[in-house]
Amino acid sequence: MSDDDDGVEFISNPNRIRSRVKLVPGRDASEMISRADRSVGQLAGGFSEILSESLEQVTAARRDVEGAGDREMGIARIRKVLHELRGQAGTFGYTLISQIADSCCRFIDRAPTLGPREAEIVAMHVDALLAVRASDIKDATEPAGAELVTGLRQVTQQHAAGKGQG
Amino acid sequence: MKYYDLSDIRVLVVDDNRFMRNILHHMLKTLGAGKIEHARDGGEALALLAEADYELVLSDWEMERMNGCEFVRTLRGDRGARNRLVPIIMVTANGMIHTVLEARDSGVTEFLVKPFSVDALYRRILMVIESPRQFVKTKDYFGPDRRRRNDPEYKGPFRRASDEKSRASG
Repeated sequence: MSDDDDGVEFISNPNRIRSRVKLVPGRDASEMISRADRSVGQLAGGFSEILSESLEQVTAARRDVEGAGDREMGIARIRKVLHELRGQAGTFGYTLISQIADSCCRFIDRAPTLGPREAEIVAMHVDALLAVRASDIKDATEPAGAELVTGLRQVTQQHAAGKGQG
Repeated sequence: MKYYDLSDIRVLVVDDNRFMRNILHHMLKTLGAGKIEHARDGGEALALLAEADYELVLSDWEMERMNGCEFVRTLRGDRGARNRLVPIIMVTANGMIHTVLEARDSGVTEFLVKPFSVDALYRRILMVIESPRQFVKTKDYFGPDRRRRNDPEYKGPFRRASDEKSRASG
């Protein structure tokens, strides 16, 4: 089943999944989803372990960045860990950790070069994450959380505007 | 919201992060998915997809060795692939527009940005079930039709040879 249109061919999708699922009349999925949400929430206990491991990894990578190690490689390692963290933290309601990790990843992705100033800004994000964990701040509605997010936003915006040197 | 019994579907979760694989597995299980299998990267996923029929794939974007984008391109580009038309939901923490466009152009069916809720995942699965898109093959693309909407009010060119505006301008 195809339809040629000057180099474009349309192929009917057999939609195997549709043929394998069954619509259950009279039942609403909302209850199942709420139950699933509660069930996923129970996995949150495992997240504190993940957070500790992640922060150990970024702290080790940061030492390389600030020491004699390969700066770019160290920042890439930090980004990899924080990229995973931004998704996982949000899933378990740790929105502030997710926001800071996301800010750092976006900063790294957009930075044209990764010099000493960029390494310093990445380190500020790592410090912020350590502070959040130490103070057990969950989101940016808490004053300390809001202050951290605002501070990091200013720094990254100034850097993007070319005022980040020095 | 419609309730679908998913007990007869086979789902492949592709993610290099063990914790994320577990979360997705858990979500799918609580939504009633029958069989859930895992792969740690695109290469492993391709090997599994060559062995059995799957109804759905959930794939991470950033993975070491073969990433999500390469995986989707390879699968969609293989004429003989057993699951070439399988719906693929790309799951990523990187929601930047260029990532979304790159995922779309690699042939993904749906896009889900982390962090996400069970509700968001279920809604994407509903989209796949209820609004399947036909596949399009051009000289440089094979995948679901990237034009999701069918807007009767749209007056612009459709960029197809059958479209008069396209012929006039092109």
